[in-house]
Amino acid sequence: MTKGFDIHRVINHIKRDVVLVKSTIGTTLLVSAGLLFMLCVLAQLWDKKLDSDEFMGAFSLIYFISGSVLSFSFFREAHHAKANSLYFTLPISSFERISAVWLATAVLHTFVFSIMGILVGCMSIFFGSLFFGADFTLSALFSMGYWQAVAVYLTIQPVSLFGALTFKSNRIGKTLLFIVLTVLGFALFNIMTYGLLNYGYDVFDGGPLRNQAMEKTESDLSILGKSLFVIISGPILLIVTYFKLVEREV
Amino acid sequence: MISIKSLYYHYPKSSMVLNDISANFERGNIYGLFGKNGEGKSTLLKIMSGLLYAKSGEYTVDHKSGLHRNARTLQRLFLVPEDFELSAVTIATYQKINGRFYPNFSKKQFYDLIAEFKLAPQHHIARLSFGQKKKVLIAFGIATNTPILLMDEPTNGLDIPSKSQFRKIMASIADENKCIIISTHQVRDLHSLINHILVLDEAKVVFDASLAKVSTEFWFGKPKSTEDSIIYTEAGFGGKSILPRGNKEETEVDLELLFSAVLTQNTVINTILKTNDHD
Repeated sequence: MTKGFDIHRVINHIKRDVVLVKSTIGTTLLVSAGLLFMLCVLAQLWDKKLDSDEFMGAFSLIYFISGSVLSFSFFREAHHAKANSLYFTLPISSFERISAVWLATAVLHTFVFSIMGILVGCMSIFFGSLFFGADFTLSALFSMGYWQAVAVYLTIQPVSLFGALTFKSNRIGKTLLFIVLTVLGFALFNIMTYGLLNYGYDVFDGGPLRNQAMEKTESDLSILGKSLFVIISGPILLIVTYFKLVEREV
Repeated sequence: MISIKSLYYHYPKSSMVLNDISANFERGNIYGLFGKNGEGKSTLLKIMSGLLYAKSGEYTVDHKSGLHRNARTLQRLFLVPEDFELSAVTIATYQKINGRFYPNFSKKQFYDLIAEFKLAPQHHIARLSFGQKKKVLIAFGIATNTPILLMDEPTNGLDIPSKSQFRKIMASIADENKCIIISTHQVRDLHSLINHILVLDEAKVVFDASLAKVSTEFWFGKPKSTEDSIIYTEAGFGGKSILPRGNKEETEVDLELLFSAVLTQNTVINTILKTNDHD
């Protein structure tokens, strides 16, 4: 009897993908480690110390970009005209497949990148203290900013998966265009809604009333707005990607 | 085992490729799926393996729908596509990363076949010729031990000795639990291998009969008397013709001649088969 959801198939698919994109993973991690090391060393040059904001800034940026690069490489086989028939006839359900890809590019990437980030951070602090007398402050590597970075990555990462499966060519460029258009759409929607709701209060004259109204709107709706953004870019795009995988014909 | 009922399929903005297709495929048989180029053989195999979704109709594998990709159906079949690309890894790695998806995969059988094809586990797939890659895939497909094996033009890209090797291997793996469907337009390559023929023409199944039935009902050869009721004859085959067998000796089925006859005289041929079915 074949199970509806089999974690072994998910694990097997992760192992398979990791073997097939190991060179991309290796290159991405090496480049990421090099960049993170350089940025951390540069940050110590000026004030002889690496503070947590500096480390988390560099870490987050490289963590997001490398995660997106990996996400795009994981669906490469699905677009290959000659390889996709064997890819899609592997005995694994679409739900197991999307779970495997998400676990690899979101969870596994976070785990591996975090370990690498801490190691590179330690090395850069050691390097800084050894060569130009910077403070040996390992505490800079551990802050609440890390969890914020992970939360943001897990929120935006499905956008990469969506783009990786949806677009057949120029996938990164088209995904960026999709993000830009979505953000512009959101901004336009917000401005129109703001204008419609506040039209009678003369809020467009640039006076203090406008600033007050903007602040009030922001404090009233920011949680709703953020939640909406998180839902749209995270779970909904993951579900959309799943259905695209289900409907995909070769 | 496999049941197809009133299946329809067309590609976007194109005419019907499969028009009201119905067929049954049972265990213990090697089916030859014949047809001219573009008659829907590959499309039918793709629908059977979940790569394409039929516009309407039924397709079941062991009484359960196989119309949409699901792990249950996919564990029961393996497709060797006509044109494909394998991952750029060694043969051993290919087996390791893909074999674990098939519950009955036999590593020993895979490496035995790889050795028979004069290949080695450490060979890198990216450096193999298309024919060699096809051998890797055929060996892998056989070693999955799935009850259904679908092969789309498996002999394309194989040299003459490899074609004969392929026939030998296929004959050795055929058993009463396996249903093998081989699609080809190179009818001669499957001579002596298949035991059931299905011909697609103009988006329809125009012929569906076992070789035993064909052998019982038809006579293949050069007729001695001009009074014989020839169904089909072709000068290119040295005057070989197809006749209703009647009381004549049983002859070996000439697949190529039968295929040509079906394409031009399918009504006559099917009428003879049906008439004698009722007798």
